[in-house]
Amino acid sequence: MKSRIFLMISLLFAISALVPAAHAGDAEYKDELHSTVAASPDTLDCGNTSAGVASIISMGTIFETLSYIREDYSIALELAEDYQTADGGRSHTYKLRRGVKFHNGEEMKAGDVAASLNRWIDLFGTAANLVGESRFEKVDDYTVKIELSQPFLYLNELIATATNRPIIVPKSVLDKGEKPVSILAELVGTGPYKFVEWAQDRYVHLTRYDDYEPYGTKGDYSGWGGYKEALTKDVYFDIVTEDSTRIAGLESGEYDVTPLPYEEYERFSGNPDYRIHKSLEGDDVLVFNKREGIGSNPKFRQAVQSALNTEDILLGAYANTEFFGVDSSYIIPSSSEWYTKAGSQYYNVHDPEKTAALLKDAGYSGEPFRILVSSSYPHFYKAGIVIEQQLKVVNINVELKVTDWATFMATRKEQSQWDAFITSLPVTSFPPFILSLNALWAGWSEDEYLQSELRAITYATDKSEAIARWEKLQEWCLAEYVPACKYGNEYRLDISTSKVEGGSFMEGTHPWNIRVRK
Amino acid sequence: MGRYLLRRIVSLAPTLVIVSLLIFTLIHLIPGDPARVMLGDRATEQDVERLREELGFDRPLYIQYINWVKGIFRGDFGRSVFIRESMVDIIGSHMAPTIVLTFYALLIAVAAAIPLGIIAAGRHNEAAGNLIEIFAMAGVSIPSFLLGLLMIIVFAVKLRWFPAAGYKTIDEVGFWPHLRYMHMPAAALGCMQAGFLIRMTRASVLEVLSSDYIRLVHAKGLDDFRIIFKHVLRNALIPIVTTLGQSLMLLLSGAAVVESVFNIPGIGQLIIHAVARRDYEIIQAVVLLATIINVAVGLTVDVLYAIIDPRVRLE
Repeated sequence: MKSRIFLMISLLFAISALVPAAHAGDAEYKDELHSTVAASPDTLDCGNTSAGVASIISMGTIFETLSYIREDYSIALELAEDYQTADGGRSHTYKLRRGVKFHNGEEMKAGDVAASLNRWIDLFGTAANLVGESRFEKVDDYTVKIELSQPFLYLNELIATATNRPIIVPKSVLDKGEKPVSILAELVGTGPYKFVEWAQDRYVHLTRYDDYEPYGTKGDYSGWGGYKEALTKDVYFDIVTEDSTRIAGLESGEYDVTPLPYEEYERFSGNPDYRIHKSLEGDDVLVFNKREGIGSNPKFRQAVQSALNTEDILLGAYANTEFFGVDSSYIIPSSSEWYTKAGSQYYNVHDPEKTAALLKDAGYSGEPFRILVSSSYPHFYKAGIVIEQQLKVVNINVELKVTDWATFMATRKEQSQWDAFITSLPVTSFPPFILSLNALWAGWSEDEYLQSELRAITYATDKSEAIARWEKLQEWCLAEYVPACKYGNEYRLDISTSKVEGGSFMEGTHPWNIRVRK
Repeated sequence: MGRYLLRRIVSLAPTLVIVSLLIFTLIHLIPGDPARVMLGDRATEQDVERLREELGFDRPLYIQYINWVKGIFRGDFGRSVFIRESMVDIIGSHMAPTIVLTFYALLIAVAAAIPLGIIAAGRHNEAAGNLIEIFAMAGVSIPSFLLGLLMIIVFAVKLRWFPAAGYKTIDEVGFWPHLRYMHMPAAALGCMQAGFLIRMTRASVLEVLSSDYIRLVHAKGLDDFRIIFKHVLRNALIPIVTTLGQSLMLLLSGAAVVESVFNIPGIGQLIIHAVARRDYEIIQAVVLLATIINVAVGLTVDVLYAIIDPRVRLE
């Protein structure tokens, strides 16, 4: 009897020893992903804001659109399964995917898509200016079409890359007509996650949308889309504005992934417990006021450009060459067919003699050159300090006007209050989308030649001819017009614990296809 | 007492009108508006103007003020452009963490300060007294944000005793786990007040200890415990209670920094974000509320004076 009991106990021990061994190879995963954002979003309707934080939280997660941009900056289709242009770029037709369900259970049909895209055109001045009076129309339940008065080959690029996202939402939500009409009544989209709760100043909670069917081939995802799976059930975008708190939260295991402040890079670089994700975020520029004041003098603008040592400015702003790129091209990235080095001889020259000659030609007599910069973004402020010093050396009387972000944006509207401002521009792969060349955006690049050339590029039917035209135009911009002094490309950093598997980190953390080991 | 209270409450009305007018004017004088913030840096002027018009920010200021005041009389404190909840819900949900944090910090400060202050007074020329003095000086000198950050590194990152940051409501996790998120922030916030209160208690107790009637009760042979708690503390409490009222207001205003460090969604965070994005309605409502709280705390302290010290006559 005793020996039987002994045998059974031994067997139980043996089995219990084997059970964990059998599971040792299968990692267990968390049901929650905690990803932090460094700013409190002002809205989650990324169709009605250009603010990046709204896009990071809601684009691709809650909302989707017809096409998206991949990490190599190529454009791929998302809610559309086919896209055709005809009539030399005047007619654009999208065939929609069938069976796509909104989070409210309705099926996405052409009526929803046309209404959503037309809302986007109405709210987004850049799109409205490009398409004019034309609007999307339903052809049948799964086809939408827009007929333009002029050829425009890059509508699909605009849809994939616009800072105000052309999100597709149910027409029934748009028709609710809640005031103000431009603010969405409900956050209902087609993405792999649906909206649960926005606890103000705490978090935005999304949960897996069980009826979501990924598009394309399993595993093929990149940038802002692709085959997206909600591998983690609940996603929390924790709103943590303090850098040190975010990093401490990552180290203590409360957050899984977070934006990494540049100054913390050295501490985490090479640490096997963490992964650092680097992504091109845009280009940093000093944009001139071309309507009024000293900035409206092209010779003065050329003088400023010739005085700047962009590497020193970027080092001052970012402290580490890992976080920036010295590049004269108005188009980033370099993989774009529009990328050109034309005019690079005028960039980063820091030639005091040339500057003095140009200032003399400009008739500059020491009037204040007021540069507006926001202290809310330390890298802009630091860049402003270095620019101020570099320009003072060549006898330009610089006044740095430092304000908070809201004041910065309001002051920028008053053209008599400033001569230049510092900001960053989004990654753009088509010249007419470059904000510093936009006649309606702050700085007002209203030059007739510039605008007629941009129109010619926008409505060109021969792409190679348009690219050649752009090369000449960029050279002219750097040599003559100088709408802005680009001082370099900017990278953003995100950091995740080594327990985070998969994911896409282009311009921020995208939670689809991410799993977190327990 | 009743008439006094009524008079003080009635006198609140002009204060509130002046404060409302001042805050409304000041906040609208600062450059920036919610439409511009909402649309972001890359919006064109025409987009901004369209939203300004939709939100009613293109109307003359005096009309916007009149509409706001009219709303208050109807019990409507306005609607935030950014947070689509009623103002009562917004302030209520942000007030709860601040109240818990502030009172918990005050509790820590008082619980530490009164006994330590008494010991420091009783042993004012000894090592224990000096040690408490050093502790009080350190408490007063170390800024709460620095102390908070140090606590995060030691107790959250290294020892992992407490969460580094964040906040969970009682409804979400229950009372004790809720409090777990508040230990470090409350200690960081309360430490400075503890320092002040230790010094105040020590000075106050020392003063009473040197008075003639204490000498008399000593001569009567009463033990130290009874002397301290029956005769000294009651008289020493008056300046301490005054300080407590001020401490509460200081803690409330200082909570914003600690909330920011520990990522607690309190009223301080609410107002910081509201100012940053020019959320006029929230700023106006919170400042009005702060005014009311300030006056109410002042009034409570006056009433407490009368209860503790019968010589004080409020009439």
